[in-house]
Amino acid sequence: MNDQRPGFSVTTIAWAVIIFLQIPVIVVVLASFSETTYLTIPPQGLTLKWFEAVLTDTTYLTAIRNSLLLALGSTLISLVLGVAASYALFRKMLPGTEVLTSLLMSPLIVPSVVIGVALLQYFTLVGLRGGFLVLLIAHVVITVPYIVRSALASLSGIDLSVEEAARVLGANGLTTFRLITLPLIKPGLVAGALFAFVTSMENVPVTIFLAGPRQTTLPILIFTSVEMGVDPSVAAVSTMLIIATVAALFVAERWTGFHRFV
Amino acid sequence: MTSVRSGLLLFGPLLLVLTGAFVVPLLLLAPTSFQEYQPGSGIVSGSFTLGNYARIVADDYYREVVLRTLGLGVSVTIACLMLGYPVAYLIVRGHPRWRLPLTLLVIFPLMLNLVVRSFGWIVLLTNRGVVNNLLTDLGVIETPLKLMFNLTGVMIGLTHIYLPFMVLMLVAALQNVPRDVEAAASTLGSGRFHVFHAVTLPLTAPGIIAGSILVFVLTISALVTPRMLGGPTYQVMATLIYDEYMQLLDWPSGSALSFSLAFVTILIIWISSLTTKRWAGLA
Amino acid sequence: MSNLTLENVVKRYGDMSIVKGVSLNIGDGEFVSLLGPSDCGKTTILRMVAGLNEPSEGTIRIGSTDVTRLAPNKRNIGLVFQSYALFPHLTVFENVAFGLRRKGETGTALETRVNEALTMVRLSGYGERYPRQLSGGQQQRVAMARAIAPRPNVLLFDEPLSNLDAKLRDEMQIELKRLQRSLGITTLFVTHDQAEALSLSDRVCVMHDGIIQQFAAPEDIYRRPATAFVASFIGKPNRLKATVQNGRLVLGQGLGLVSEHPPGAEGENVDLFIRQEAISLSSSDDHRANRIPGIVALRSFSGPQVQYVIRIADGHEFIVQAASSGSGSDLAQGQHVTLEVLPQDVLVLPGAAQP
Repeated sequence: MNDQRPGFSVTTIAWAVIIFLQIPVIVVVLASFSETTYLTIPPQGLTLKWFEAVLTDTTYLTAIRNSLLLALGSTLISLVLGVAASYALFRKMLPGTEVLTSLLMSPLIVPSVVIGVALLQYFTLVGLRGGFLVLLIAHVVITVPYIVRSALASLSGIDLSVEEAARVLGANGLTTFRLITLPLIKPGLVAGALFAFVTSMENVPVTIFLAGPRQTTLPILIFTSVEMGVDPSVAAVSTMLIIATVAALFVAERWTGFHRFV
Repeated sequence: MTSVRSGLLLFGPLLLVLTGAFVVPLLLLAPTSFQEYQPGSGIVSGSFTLGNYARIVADDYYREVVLRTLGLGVSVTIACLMLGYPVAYLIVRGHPRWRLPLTLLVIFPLMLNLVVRSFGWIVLLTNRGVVNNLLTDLGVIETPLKLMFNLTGVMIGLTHIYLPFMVLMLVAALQNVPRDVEAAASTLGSGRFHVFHAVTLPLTAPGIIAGSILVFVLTISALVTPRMLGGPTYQVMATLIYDEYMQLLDWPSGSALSFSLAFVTILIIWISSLTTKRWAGLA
Repeated sequence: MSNLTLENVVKRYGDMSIVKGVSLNIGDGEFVSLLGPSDCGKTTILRMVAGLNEPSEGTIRIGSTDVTRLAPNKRNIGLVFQSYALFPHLTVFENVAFGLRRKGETGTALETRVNEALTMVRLSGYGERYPRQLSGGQQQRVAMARAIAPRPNVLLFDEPLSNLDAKLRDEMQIELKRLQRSLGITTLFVTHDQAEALSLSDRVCVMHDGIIQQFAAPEDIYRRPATAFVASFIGKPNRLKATVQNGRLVLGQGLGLVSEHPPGAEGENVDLFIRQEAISLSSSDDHRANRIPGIVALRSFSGPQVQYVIRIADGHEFIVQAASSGSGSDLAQGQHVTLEVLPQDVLVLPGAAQP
């Protein structure tokens, strides 16, 4: 009974939409190689000069460095804090599991721009505004829900008895976690860490209110420079980001086969 | 060590961070929103006014921005629904071999930087962008179409950005419709369209609602795409908040807007989670 | 090696008591089964002995050490889980070595011990495989090897054979018994399968509703059940109500039985339990035997056995098992027969509400 396949019109529309989804990405990549400032189809000449411009521009390089540091730092901190909290939640070590889980996930519900202005106000009041630490804390807040979500999902996928077996065989809580639980939840955690990293790397609404002139991140740089017109070096750095993302996805997939957990 | 103590040890650090850097700052928005702001001299200390909130509904410009934001929310949601359903249907009911590639093609844009994607649309839609160049070269138009800094550009951009979310939610909903139900309906004489209309659509209703809520809430909170494609003149709530804080330095007004936006968002999500729980019970 | 003692152990969840005051004494090297239906508390007790649950009241002692509140990793216990709980990301060797490594063993000493354990469960050479590459029975044996390798004082089994098919289960039962005998470790074995419990154990502890119904050697459990529950749980008994009159057990319509077991007080209402296989349908000369006439109401043939439903004068129905290769195997429906039951097979217990 297998003739319930979608009809021709549905399939055509679906494919059209899917192509629609890829168009901006393709356009950006093409524009980064285009000789002219404005992209034409077909491009009027291919060049690498925009890439060269980006790689020699200290503003871009600083922004890239800041973004990477921020994303790496916040992802790592979120992993440590988030996995610990998720474990405590999952093993019901505290009362009010549902409320606490909602609390940990709540940064996802509040509009990013609101989080941004709230933190701006708060840190200005406290006198901490404009430092890297502040940005780091803010990024931990917005990335940790992804870690918590993937940690909770991974934990629910392992058989509780293996932890009990380890305990009976002589392992204490920490050793059990290190040798048994952690290796088993690693693929799911990698997926979550990837989401967290991407979220941090692309964030504008929170970062833009908190970043001082020396902490500009890459997305903010692109965001603000666009107001001055279409500059192909923006396209070039965007293409570099796309390549980096694809490479990271490949590596993560080969390392842990995490596509099952996305 | 009792489990409660080790639980606190594990949970505590994150709790501290979230309380100190999330809950408290959000709560602090409220007092600010009631303060009065004097352009040029700053916040009047000790003041209390409801003016910031009143302005949102009373002032023509503010009202226009709010209504535009909500309208965008609805239109983008509908567009995502219309465009996304066929894709979801193809993924779930199409040939199994295509399932993973199609899903990856849908998820892939999500993995890329939001700013990059919006920038891609600028390259496409700007006056000397790809679309206009193509249409001019083909002789279809003489002067460039204004596809940016207006409703068209912002809507196209937002639809594109949030389409994958809708597709993923619809895929989840469609997966839960057993094929047998559709097959049963067709053996009972329903034509293809009728099967969809009478069986599939109602059964996926919870997924449609969930996806729509998600896209709506994301759209009305959006900052980056509306700013990049709408420019400084075509405002939505999020961009207005941005300007109030960064350009006008009118924090009280910005806070009032922020609080309203957050309130509406959380309310919608909360109501939808209540109704889905009720539905899940009925299912 | 040590003995295992439970004293007045109680386990409460809220105001529900799962275990209601259990006291047990298991000798060094003894194999004891905890037998009972689901929710009788047997698994809860096992987990308390392992340290995975904490008793609400009472004490647990291994040897002379009070382990009641001791963490599970400090009790030197072996536990074989129903789901085996093998570490999926570790090899068979590493699984078995886990407990030894926690004790600080390394190098060749470790290797020797692991290989010893694997040989005992007849899986030597499987060290480099992963659990997912093994069959159910092999996984079960790895679980056992892992539990015994660190030479625990007490060995616990939580329904370890219930996930295996019947044939494999029978084989594993024999292996398990042989293993336990050669190691001589005090063993507590939880199961709901009475045949398993009776055949493996030195003593069986029948549990129901959180309390011990009877704790005795298998033959005693079978032949002299202490409570109505034990009588009805073990084997497949026919159950009847009777009244004691003049030392006889009167059913009704003048039908009565004589039992070797103490009948109870005069006039008392009692429950009789007669096992299906203890009723004979062929006539014998044994003058002690109870004889009751009846009619065959139903016959069903299931290979090695034939099952009859026999109705007697007062309306009672007996289910009788007969070997299909013996006499009495080809009675027809409607045929008149005489039921013969030896007095020693008429079990008498005080009449009570249904357990």
